[in-house]
Amino acid sequence: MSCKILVVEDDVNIAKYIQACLSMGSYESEICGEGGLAVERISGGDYDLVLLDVMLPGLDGFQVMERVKDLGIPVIYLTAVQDVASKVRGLKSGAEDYIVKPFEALELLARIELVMKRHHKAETAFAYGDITVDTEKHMVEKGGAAVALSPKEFDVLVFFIRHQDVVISRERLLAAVWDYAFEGETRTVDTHVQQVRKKLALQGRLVTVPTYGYKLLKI
Amino acid sequence: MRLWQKIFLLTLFLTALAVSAISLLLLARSHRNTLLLAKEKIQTVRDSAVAELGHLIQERKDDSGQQLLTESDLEDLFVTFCLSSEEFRKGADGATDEAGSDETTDEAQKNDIVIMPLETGIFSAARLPREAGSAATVLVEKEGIRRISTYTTAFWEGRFYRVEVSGDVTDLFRQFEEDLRFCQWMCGGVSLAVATVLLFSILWLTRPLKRLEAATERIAAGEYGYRVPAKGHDEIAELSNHMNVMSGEIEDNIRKVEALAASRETFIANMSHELKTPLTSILGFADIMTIKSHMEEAERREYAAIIAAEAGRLKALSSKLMELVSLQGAELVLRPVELGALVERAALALSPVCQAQQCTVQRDLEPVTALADEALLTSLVMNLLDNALKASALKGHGRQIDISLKKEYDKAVIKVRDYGIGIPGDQLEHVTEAFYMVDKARSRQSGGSGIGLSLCKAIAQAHRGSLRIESREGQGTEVSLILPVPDTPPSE
Repeated sequence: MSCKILVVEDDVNIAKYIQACLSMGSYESEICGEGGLAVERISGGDYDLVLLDVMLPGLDGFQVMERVKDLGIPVIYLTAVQDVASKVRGLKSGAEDYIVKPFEALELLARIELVMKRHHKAETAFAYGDITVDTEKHMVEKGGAAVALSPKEFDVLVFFIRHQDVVISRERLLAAVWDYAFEGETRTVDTHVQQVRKKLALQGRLVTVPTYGYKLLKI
Repeated sequence: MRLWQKIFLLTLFLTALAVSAISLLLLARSHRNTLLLAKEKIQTVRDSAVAELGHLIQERKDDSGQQLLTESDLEDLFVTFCLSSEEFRKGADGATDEAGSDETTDEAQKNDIVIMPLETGIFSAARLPREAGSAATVLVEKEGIRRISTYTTAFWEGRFYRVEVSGDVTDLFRQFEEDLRFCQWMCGGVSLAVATVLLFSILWLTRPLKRLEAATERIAAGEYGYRVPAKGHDEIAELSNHMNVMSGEIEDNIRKVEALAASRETFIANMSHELKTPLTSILGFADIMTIKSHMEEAERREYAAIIAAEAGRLKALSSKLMELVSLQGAELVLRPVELGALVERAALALSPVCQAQQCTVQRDLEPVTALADEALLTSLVMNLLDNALKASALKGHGRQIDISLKKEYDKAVIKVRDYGIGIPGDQLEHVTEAFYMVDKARSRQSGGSGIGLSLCKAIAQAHRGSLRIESREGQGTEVSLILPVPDTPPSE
């Protein structure tokens, strides 16, 4: 099951960037550069999520939101307008999140995932080679045999499987698995990654990228 | 102390002072006159008494045939006179020479006469008495009784006599004192009445001041739109009008400051947005290139190209912003510049773009010299040409741009006319606002930042010139730059 996301963004390059991000998270995406057109496409299409810019030609983001909020499709604002009033207005209008430009690719993906989870649209079963993961039952099997992982190790594994072939920094992993505000040591990350690697025999696949972080190679 | 209290007390004091002073003066004057009259009357009585006595002596002498009356005869005559006279009523004991005796009991008979021989010796020319021929009138007070006393000397039957007549004037003084008391009461009463009228008048007159005070309080509290109700043509109405003018000025200035703050806020918000848009692409693609391990060569190139393009946009924006900021408040050094050559150079600089777009530039240039900052003015003309080229490019093929330079009276007019897409009428007034873009997507595609025309306007204004934009959607735009030209260009 692949999610379909509509990106409403009038700047061609930013739209291209968002699409590149979404493809890394293996989401399907379409681009729309005009407010009025966006309303039509949201109403007519079967999107799981809308990423909405605020400053748009035609209708602006808030106006688009006003017209589509009854459809029940989750919306995340993606905008350069960062004053608190706009943020509050955006969230009050029924949006799920409000991301201020510029933003990092993995941050965007993490926040999309959170919204998806809230709407039970996130995938719950992943497979990587002979490893299968079920996030609902919190179970990991390798070759049919259950593997015991601590909750954090489990989260680390899921994060890597979701972002295959992406170089993930220790800080990013810390932020994603522990907490955005968690100011822990990066050595904690190393310990957990080593445990995951050992327990699931991922040597040679979950590799260390010197001075940066880790990467799970695509099969 | 309040103003009305001051006015009231001062006026009351001055009124009371004036009223009492005038009435006292009048009273004193009338009293003096009365006394003078009384004095004259007494003197008349004295003189007539002397004359009457002389007459009586002559009569007695004629009757008796005597040559000279004796002293006792005379005394007898005096007593008779005193008793018979209407003016004096004396005791019949004949003691006419008892000086100072006053036996008058009748209120009507207040006058008193004393006749006294000055010396007993026979008259001799060599021994005239000291007082002979003298006369005097004095006011004497004795035991609460005031009298006017006057005397003269008479020469009868070889002797000098002192004839002294006095009259009681106590009543006159009593009357004066009564008048004085009445006057004091009058002053008090008048002052009280005046005070009452005054109090209400002052309160009524200073009422507009209270209104003014209330108005200033409201204005000071921030109600700048409040106007003082001004009626009539007196000083307070004038003051009210002036205050209204003042508060109007304040209101205007506040509005200007607020508008300035608002426009500055919009400018900063827009600027932040315009900076973040390219930044998002730059940071984003750099991020992707960092974290993505497998990337196609074509993909990598595309991302790098986007980063370079967006960084270029950021650079252009920042240099334009710098120009805009440095223009504000800066005093330009203006030198005589030949505008025709300047336009020619600007067109030449853009000729590669024109050729690439197959666009012809028609020039119609008169030689005009104006005072200008050459670099800034060149940038302005290039901006206008660039806009014209973009507008033409968006329209389609077969394009032309007309540039004209003419001197109209004391102005130099540079016109840049294109036959491109034009500007919708309702957006025409906004195009010189910083970051305003008629079509954001298309502006960005053609490399616009939305700041060019506001920069042009700022440059024009720094040259004390102006920018006029006429446009019809779909038919093209004509931008006129109007610069002042000095009558005799100063030679360098």
